[in-house]
Amino acid sequence: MKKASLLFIFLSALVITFAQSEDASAKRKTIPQVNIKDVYGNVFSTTDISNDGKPVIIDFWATWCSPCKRELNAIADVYDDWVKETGVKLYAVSVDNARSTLNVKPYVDGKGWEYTVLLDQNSDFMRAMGVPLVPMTFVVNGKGEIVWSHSTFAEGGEFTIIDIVRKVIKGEEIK
Amino acid sequence: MFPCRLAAQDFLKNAQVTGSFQADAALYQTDAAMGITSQSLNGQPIRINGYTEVNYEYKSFYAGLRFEAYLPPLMGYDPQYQGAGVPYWYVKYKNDLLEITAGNFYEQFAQGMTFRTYQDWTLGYDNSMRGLRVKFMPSKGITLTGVYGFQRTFWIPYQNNNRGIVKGIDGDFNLNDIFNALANTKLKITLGGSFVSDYQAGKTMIYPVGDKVYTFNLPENVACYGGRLNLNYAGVNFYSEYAHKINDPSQMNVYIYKPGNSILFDLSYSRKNFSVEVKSKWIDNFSYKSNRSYTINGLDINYLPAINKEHTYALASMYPYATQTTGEVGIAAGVMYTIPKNTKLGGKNGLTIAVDFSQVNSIKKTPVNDTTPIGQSGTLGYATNFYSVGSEVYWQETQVEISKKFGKKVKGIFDYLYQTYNKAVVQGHPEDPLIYSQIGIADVTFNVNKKLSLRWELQGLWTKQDNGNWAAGLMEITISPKWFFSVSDQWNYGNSDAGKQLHYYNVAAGFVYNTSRIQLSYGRQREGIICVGGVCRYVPQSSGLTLTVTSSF
Amino acid sequence: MFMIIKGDMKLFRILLPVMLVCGWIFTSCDKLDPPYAAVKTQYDTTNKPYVLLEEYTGHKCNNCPLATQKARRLADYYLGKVIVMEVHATNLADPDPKYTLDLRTPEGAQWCTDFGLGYVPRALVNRTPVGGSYPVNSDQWAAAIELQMLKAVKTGISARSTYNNDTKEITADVTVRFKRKLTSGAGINLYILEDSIVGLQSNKDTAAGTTPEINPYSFNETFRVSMNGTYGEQLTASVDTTINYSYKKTFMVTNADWDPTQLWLVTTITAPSASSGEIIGVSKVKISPVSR
Repeated sequence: MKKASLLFIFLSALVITFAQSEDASAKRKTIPQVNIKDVYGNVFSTTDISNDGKPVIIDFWATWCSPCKRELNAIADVYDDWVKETGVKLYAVSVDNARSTLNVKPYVDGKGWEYTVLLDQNSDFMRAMGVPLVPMTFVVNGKGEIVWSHSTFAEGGEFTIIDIVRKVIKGEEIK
Repeated sequence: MFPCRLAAQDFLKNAQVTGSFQADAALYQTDAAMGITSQSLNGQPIRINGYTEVNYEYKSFYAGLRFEAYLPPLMGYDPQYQGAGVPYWYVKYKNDLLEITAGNFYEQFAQGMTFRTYQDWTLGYDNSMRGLRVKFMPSKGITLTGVYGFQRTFWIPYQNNNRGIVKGIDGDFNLNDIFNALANTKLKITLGGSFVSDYQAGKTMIYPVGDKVYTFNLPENVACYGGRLNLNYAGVNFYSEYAHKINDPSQMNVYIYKPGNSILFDLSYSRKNFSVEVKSKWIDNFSYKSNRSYTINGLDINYLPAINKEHTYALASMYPYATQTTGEVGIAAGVMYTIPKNTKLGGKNGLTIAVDFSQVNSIKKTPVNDTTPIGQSGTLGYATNFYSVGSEVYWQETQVEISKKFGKKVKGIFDYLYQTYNKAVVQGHPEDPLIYSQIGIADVTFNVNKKLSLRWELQGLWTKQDNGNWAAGLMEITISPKWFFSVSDQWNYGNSDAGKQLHYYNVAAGFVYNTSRIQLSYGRQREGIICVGGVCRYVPQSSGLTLTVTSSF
Repeated sequence: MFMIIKGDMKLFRILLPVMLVCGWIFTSCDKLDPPYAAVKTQYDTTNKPYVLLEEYTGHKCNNCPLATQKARRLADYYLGKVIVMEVHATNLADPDPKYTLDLRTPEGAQWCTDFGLGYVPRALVNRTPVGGSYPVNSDQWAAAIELQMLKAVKTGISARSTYNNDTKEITADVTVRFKRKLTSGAGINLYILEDSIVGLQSNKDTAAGTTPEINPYSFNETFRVSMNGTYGEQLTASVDTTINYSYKKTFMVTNADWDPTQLWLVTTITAPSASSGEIIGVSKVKISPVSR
């Protein structure tokens, strides 16, 4: 048992080192190809997440996740301005499972949100993107490369997201 | 570490590696007021649950694994998780036509009524399949999936028929993509069907019933099949799924031979700022596990989620409902309307109002004949009419929620709920009465400036049954984007036993850096039940320090 | 009409195996006809070994009375060759203001952890794993018992035990004869059980008694203590089938609640040793109260 715990601690250290040394890695990550669904029940391939060369925000959320809903509400207040300024497109990927997946579109509409909603009913996309919990937000540049990601939501966090999007538009390096 | 990192970076040059990590550690302490003694801690005050998952992708080839450790498992998690190892690994090949996975995988047919394997870390549930999965997409709009293998249960290896071999096939068809005539219509149709079979060797079983010992004939292959249809037109969506399971005598249904049925309807209409959804579900003897003997959480082949809304506020989720697989009928309806800003009712910032209702009853069961009581092992068990509604109420809930922004800096969410909870049926204690409770919640956020925000929650639960009234409060300070602090308390002030009118206080602090998050909290955890979907886990009361670390790469 | 499907020829080649697989899966469907169960013919227990059915239970476990009833039914059916022992453990055996009895034991708590008994009611059958798991649910007890009865009788145990009312001392005098050569040694465990302990038991099955509680409930065959430690003692390091092994032990009863007229001695022989191994022999005798 001692061996197992030491191995575990080593692996965790390895992982945390990786997490911090992202910038040291040579290549930017791209969105993995996973088949999920759109709100009509059709198969949607994640490689179709695109915005004519403009940046994309991928936001993993669920109808049962309060901070996720707070984040999407906060962005909704400024989304029109964001789109006007940067042309950004937000994909709200819901990880609701069969219990509430049919409630996702009614919820999004009921709130008046204008995002493109995708349904990741069995967390396949969430797993492929390495997301341990929701909310988790990613900014993807025009070439399909993930340039920034952030876990959890703090009030005011939406301003950080739009700053990153602006940097992407200008072609600036994101630290 | 050095040679490891160099090799790893070379490895990374041509491939993509993603992964995640989570560790939950607890240092438990005794608490006289709560009745937690050193004997309750069982000599294990420090416990840790953790996992690391790594996925590797190179062109059409994928592989991955998850390392898990429970040293020992946190309180409330099944002690059979004790230990560490790699319970999940896979290799996958994928191209436009075909996707083949060997190893462990998670898959779902439709809404999971016939087949769903999934993992939920908080719940401690993992029924991943280990075997082979083949997905075949001969043309756009057609997906055929085949699965074969056995399911995970803790660390127990598959041997001596200790669980069944599950095989299944599913076809998903999008008619708008298949038929030219439907390519551009406004009406969108998808339909599908699945067939799943579980093989567990053993044609007979010896079992005492009453004052005799019987030999039961057992079906080695238990099959479950179903179909579904989804119609979408303008803002209207209609979904329906039906499944049938042949005779499946097991510990879950006390060894009756009646086939099982399950049907779900969901109709919704939505457009910007308004939506309405009505759904109904009828379940008759539909527990489907790959081990006949299992009664605990695990080895479920299908997924039967509860029909009511999942709550996150502490007092609203004090009495969570869980699907009664032996038979239940439920209905749920919800309306949501956002009054736009700058209107008379909406004020300057708009207002969202949501009303929800759900109710679950038993189904009506009648005896099969005059001499056999309902639920007699070794017989059909009972008879029921399609969509019969019984007289026993298992659950009822009415909820009104109002969300409003007050100016630029303040927003609030206000809820009122009225719940009826049949604790006797849901928790298996026949002597417990129905619990009627009213719940009020106020959740207000004040954005002081772009960096600092404060959030308060005030909750109350009023009931004359069970433990009586509760009050709860929380205050959270967030310093964007990295820091957060919170203080909260749940107080059972209405408990009829003065010694049990405890405060379950908690203080927490956390730090977020990009995709890593660390939270340290100290305080008391009240006894409760966490239900996610159709599976519930009992959470024992505890007191002490907890540390949670999550990260993603 | 159908859109042209990509690669028609490829499709045909894959279609045949897909249909075969479908056919295989669709026929995996065993619909049974009544009668589904029939009364079992009497199992012949002559020359079969004794088996220990060690049931874990608790007075707050409302599924347990029915399970215990099933255990006793199996003991009757196997004509006395199945020895039932009730071990009270897990949090459902903890006392509280309403359920005041405390039938827990340190040995029981240790066995619970070591054999992975997460919940009750479950049982260990001759401490032998079934399908990779030690604890077994009630629907598999009979199958596990009959599996044990297929084995040869390995031991002959002759035991005598007395309880001295004045000195409060229990003496056990056990003679073991091995009928089969074993490749290793053997251990011996002496357990004291008590019948007719009266208390409150939670219950949800009307077939097992009144609901929601049975009061008074008679707790029989309740494990009280092990005379020689949690995992007993080594009897011999290497088994000789020609000699009689003698083992004597005494135990001082300190708990005044025990009824000296209701005590039983259960002896188990485990191989290869007392602490690791499966039970290869069991015996149960009444402890006779005597006074000096």
